[in-house]
Amino acid sequence: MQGWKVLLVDDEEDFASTLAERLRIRGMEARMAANGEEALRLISDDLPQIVILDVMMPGMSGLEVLKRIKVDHPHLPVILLTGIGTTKEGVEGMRLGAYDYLMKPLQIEGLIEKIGAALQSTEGEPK
Amino acid sequence: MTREPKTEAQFMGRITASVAHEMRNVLAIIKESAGLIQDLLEISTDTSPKTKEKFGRTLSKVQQQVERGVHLATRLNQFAHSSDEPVTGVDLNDTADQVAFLAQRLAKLKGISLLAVPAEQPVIITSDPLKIQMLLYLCIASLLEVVGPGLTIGIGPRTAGDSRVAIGFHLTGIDETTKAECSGPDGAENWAALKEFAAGLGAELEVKALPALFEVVFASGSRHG
Repeated sequence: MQGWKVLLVDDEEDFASTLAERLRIRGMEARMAANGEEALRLISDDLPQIVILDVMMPGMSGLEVLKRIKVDHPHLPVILLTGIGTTKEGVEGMRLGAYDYLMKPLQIEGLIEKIGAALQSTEGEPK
Repeated sequence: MTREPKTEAQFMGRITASVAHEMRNVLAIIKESAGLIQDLLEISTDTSPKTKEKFGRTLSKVQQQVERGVHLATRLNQFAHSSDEPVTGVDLNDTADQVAFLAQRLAKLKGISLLAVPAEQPVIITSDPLKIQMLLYLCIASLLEVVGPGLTIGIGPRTAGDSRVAIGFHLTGIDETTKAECSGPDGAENWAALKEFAAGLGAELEVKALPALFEVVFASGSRHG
């Protein structure tokens, strides 16, 4: 997991910054975006290896962000974060090309395992 | 597109579901923060093993309470969504499980445990999910009046044949002494009101011999499928 480039997209800044710090402790390069527009800008500036994307955000929804990511970067893996009322969006997101979805609160080990599997599955694919 | 709530129950459900969702976000932040402290402690070189151990124990309690809070918020959210549709397919296995959880605290205050005993197959009726939960809750409340402490009330749905389904309430852990101390469920103060409420949902209450207590039977021709 050393050096994995992860982009966390979540409007809950305290959640995203804490999770980013935990991923950095484990050797990853974690960046954050607080909304869809910022996420798309960061992806275009410096392509991450994976995006962790909250489905429920003000403004552009997570699913809308996912659709836009998949237009320019069809092989960039995206893991969605859902809540209890948004598992439907998680399933819909997988139909739209998300690698998988996880429910908040997360188990860090589960997230890391999922990131590893996603990166392995897209190894060699153009992003 | 989310539909606007049409009734007070739907409005209350909508708000409750939204707050429960936010509660999970709060718990997610607490969980990650506790996790980060744990991570920092593990890599810290200037903290004594004893202090690390104390922190670790306290953080583990925080994590456990977060899990408990998540479970409560999830149940609350599920309950809130039960007012989404006035009439829909209801699996009584899920409803029994949900109501046993929701009434747990009420039962605990009387020293009684509740246990959902699901059927092997789904037991589906078409009805108002909120009212079905209210009926089961009222059944439990009336039983708590007549059942002594230390016992467990099992709540088990079953298919009763002739397109009827039933939810049975029975006691476990009962011996001859406690059996003598239990009055019949029809001795509860609200029994008549409960029967009337059940009738409104096309159901009848059938009193059984102990250790079974009674069954709520959804009769043929009522709003169940």
